[in-house]
Amino acid sequence: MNSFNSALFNETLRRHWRGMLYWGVALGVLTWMQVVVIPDVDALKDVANLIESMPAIVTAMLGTSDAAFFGTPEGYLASQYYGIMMIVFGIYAVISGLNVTANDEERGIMDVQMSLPITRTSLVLSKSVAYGLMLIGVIAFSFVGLVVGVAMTPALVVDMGRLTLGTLNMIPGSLVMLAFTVLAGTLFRRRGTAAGAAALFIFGSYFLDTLGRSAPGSFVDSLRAISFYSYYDGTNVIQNGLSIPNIALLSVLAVGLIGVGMAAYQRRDIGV
Amino acid sequence: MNTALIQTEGLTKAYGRGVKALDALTLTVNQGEIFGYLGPNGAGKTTTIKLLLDLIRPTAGRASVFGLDVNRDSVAIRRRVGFLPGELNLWDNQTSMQIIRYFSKVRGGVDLEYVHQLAERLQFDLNKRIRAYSTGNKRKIGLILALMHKPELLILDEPTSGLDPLMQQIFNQMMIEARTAGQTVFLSSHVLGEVQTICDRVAILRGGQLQTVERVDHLTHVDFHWVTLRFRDTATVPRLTNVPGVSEVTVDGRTLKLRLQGDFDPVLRALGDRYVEDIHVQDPTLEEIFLTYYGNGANNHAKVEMKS
Repeated sequence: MNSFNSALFNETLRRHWRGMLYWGVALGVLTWMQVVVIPDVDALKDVANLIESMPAIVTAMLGTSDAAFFGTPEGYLASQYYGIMMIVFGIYAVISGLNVTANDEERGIMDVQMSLPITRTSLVLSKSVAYGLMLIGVIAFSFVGLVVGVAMTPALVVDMGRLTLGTLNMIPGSLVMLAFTVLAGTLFRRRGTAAGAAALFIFGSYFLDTLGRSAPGSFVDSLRAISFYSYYDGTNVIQNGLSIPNIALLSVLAVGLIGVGMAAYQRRDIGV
Repeated sequence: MNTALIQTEGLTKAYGRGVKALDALTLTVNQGEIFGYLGPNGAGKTTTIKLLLDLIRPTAGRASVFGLDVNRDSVAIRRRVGFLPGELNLWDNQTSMQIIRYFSKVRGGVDLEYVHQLAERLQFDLNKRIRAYSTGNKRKIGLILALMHKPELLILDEPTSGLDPLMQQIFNQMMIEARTAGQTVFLSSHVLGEVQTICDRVAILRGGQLQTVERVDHLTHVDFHWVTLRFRDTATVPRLTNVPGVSEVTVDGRTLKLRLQGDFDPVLRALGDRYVEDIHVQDPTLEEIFLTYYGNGANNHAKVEMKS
């Protein structure tokens, strides 16, 4: 970690902790609302019956192929929280990832910043670590909203341990989205290009995973292996607990993407 | 004996399709001098600066600052350099003081008392957000950021662009003081007057190629002026073609325009008792100085062009 620069890290946190707070509180409230609107468990069963009648692609997009599980409180949360919120965290991850290099290059600030005695690798690493921590902070706020919501909704009798594991499981996947955006920013000078690449990566992975799940044994199903979403698999974590290999793989992928980004940024001309 | 602070050897930067922004630059800047780097827009001045700071990588050649390789030892170099970019952009939602503190921490601390002295001298308010500053004030914060750690080398790209004349004078004084303190200044500009005032030596760059490196007094020796005279009567407009130093004479009604190299006295004597309503003297552009210095056959012979 000799590339780590604490001044850069602290400055990134100083400038963006408020933004993290706003995102965290907003998502916490959104999560809380997702939970407290559940009237009772019977209503969930009605929804489960409705889902059972839907095409496989739709149920896959809802984050489950198991309608009976969806009728349970955990199943509902797996779909509504661990499925949808992952996309929302992805938006925050992309916004943060663009801040590492792409935004400053686009605004023409990078020349002044890189006239300081810092290496390009330390810039990418220190800012990525700071944004990674803030991303975890946003997830933590959201989890608080979930816990409060569950506590205020007697109809929801859920295993909090599983929900905690499900939330922890979101961290590596979110970091992958952040890391990919950082990489895109280091590869491309244009913020729009980097954002487009990141969006393609996230939504491409999401749809590849969803389509594959809806057509087991198909060619698309075999392609799920290249979608990071298939290793995230929030529903499975709620049902069966953490998959350590998946978490390890996503964590290594996130670190690897940052590493490639550091190397890529070291090689190219800085856009100023 | 001069000690080389910046040295480039065959430094070249080409972009797509082989367009050379900088072509085999070989240059030496000595310690303790104010070195002007002159050229029209697009000449390659900013490209050179970016290469020295390792913001971009050369296609060929090499460069060193303080005897250190600009690529391999870029951090060590930047620790000892203060830089002002030609077009300064900073984080709009931050105040100057916040940015100064940030830069100070990355640099391992600076004397904040000195920062306040600089701000006072430049009449600059450190507490406003960047978005609230005018162009001239943004230049001032750029200068403070470049100067605040008292670097051994200042690399300034068009430093006075946007500064009012009073501030330009203060800037000139600060650069002279920097030289006195042993600092070296590498200053790019396309304004000849700025360079003439403070620089010891200048390099002229054109189309990415170094044309010459001269002492300023040598360069300005070839200085000339465009003189425009307006007479009361068309009939009294003289031709002045035989007056020493006069060339490129143009007559347009009551107005006579000429290129004068040397003293004004021969022209004034040649006017005799003609009634002159107005005289306008214009400094040559850098390009014109450059063409004069390197010879242009057309300029060597006085001729008169009649427009009416």
